[in-house]
Amino acid sequence: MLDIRDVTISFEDRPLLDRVAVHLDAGEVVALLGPSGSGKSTLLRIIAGLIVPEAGIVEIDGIDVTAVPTHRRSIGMVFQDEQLFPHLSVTDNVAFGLKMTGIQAGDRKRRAHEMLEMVGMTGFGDRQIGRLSGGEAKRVALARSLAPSPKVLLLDEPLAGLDRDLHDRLAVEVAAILRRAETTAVWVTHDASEAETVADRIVRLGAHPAS
Amino acid sequence: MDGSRSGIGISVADRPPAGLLNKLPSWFVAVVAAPPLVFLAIFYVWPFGTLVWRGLSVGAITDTIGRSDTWRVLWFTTWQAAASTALTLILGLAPTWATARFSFPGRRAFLSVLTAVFVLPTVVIGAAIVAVLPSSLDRSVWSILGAHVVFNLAVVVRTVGTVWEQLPPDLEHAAATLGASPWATFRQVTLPLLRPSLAAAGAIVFLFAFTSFGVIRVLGSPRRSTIEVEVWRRATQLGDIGGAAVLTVLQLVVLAALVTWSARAQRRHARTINLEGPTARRRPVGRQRWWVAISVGAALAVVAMPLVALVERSLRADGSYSLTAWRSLGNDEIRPGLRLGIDPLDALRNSATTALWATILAVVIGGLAVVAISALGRSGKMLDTGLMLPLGTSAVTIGFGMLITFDVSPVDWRASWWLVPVGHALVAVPFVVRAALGVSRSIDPDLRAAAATLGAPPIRAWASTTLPFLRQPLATGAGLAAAISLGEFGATSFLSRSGSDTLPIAIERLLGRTGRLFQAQAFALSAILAAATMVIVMLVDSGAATDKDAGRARYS
Repeated sequence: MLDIRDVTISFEDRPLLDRVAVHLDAGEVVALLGPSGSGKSTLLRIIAGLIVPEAGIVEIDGIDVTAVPTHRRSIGMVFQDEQLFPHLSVTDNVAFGLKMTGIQAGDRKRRAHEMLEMVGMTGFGDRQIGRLSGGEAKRVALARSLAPSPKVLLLDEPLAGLDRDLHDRLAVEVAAILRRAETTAVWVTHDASEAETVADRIVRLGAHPAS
Repeated sequence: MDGSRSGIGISVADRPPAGLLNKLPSWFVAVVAAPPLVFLAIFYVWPFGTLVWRGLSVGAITDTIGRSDTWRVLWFTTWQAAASTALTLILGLAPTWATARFSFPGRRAFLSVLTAVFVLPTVVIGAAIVAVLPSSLDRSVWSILGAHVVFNLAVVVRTVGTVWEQLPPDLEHAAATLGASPWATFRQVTLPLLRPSLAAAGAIVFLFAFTSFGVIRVLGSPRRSTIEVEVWRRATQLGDIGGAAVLTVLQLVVLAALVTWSARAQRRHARTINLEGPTARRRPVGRQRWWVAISVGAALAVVAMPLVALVERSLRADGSYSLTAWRSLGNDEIRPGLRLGIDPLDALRNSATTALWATILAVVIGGLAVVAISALGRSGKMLDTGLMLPLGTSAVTIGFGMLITFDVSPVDWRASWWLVPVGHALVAVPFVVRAALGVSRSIDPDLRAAAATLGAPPIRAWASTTLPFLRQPLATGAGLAAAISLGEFGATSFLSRSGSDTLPIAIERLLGRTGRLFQAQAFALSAILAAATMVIVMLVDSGAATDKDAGRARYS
């Protein structure tokens, strides 16, 4: 489903990623594990098309998307600090991607409702973004990125900034949601135990050579 | 009470509250507060009251409302302001995007140019537009809209830019990962988040364009006249004081409604967005470089070309390039023996003298006011608000009010040379107070306490811990006052006596004459005035900057 080959990028003349290759089968959840500065978030942004690599190829579902802009890549992304749209309600946030694909308003609403139900946020649809707790915002962000059924879901430290207890509970829960939705996902984290919990397979970046 | 006095020391009843123990003596506060209060009462409150009183007379109201040109003027004022606002917002978006999102060589210089144009006298902007446009467009509505755009681009770029640079780019990235094209991202995410700042900038631009006076005097015509210009025309050209007063009150009502509405709208749309402070500006890459270059280049052309044209046209008094206009500045002879009555060099001298007196007056009144405001505590707030009022009143209203108030003995001061500097000072005092009040408030009260513990009596303790800090902000205020006075046109139009024209008045009159030489002279004077204003504001800017740095060093 996702094929990354020979991706290379450097920052300020120091190589950050050097001919990195990762392959994901459909429905597979892979954790990208590495210390900060190892380039794992950069790799995620390269897959999303937010950063253009100096060399290498990104293929999604057999199509070379290296030169395709982000909005046509059919990916979803959960950002570290959610990046929910503050001017829209919870429902409108979740329905945003559906609106972009031209789905009718009625269908959008139904689908958004389903997604909120899936992440355990039924009844939060009319809330303002500013009134969500940290954990609630994470759930909404997950629902928003899953709503348009992306081919690949990218999660950038999705559970950062939560207290330990909530973090552990959500890790299990989100992993279950990903399985249920049969999502192909790349999950970036610096936390080895989080990686163990959520992923089918762990790819290490940084200190160890990319495997 | 007698019983309690039998003990040792003083009674509780006689003891002043702790806060008052080291207070400045009240006679001192009164002496300091009196001049600004009297100044405000005589030269602002009284004329303003007179004007409103005249404007509320029933006969004049029915008379004015019955005239069709009243409604024509109101309509033109409104639609040209709306059009100017829309144009400025639209043209301002691209340069705002470029300067808020990207770092590139010349970014700060570009912003400085915009700001410099914003502080230019309105008459100079009008002259610059005359210089740059082909003469067929000179008095068209496009020249008016153009002038307002050139003038106000800085408002949009600054006001909207400060919000735009704080929107996290990842918010737009999030939209892209959800399938939003760049255009959809802008429409659905960026624009809604910018809307409050766009509304704020729009309200400011609309206010400026609605009350536009100098620009319209130069570029308008009897059929294209704002309320302000119509007030001036009726009061000074037609002698219809009542009608002019009614129009002034009408404008006050419209503006008050507008300000209330915009404040309410902004409160309704206020949204808690977690703005995280400016995100790092990136260097543009790839195609972005072109877009940034085009956005900034186009805005720069719009703003700078009129000024370049001003200088260029001043060098073309006759067909070819020459210094004729500059050389003949001291000469107002049309033909040997026939004089025009506008002596450019004389205007230069008049402006310099007027600015000097206005500055002295504004700094003295403003300085005393700052002292009084900080010494008076709660009632000082009222003085503060009172002194800000002239800022919210158009210069035309101020000048007109003074004209119709000081026309009977013993206050028939219309022929007095000092009335113009007084009017300028009235407009400038708020700026002096703003510049100095912040500094005086930031002085640590313990500094004064320390002086008191070292044996300084209240006045001495206050003076030695306050006055040294006020020197720099008052210098800043003086610079602003001088710049304001040099370019002041609205109040001056009412107060200036013929034969003692200031620069802006002379420029407007010269531009109204046919004849290349007069036009070229007007352009030359405009160039001088523009240069003087820019130099002063630049000095003020750098002075304020070093002041801030010094303050930080002092208090850290």
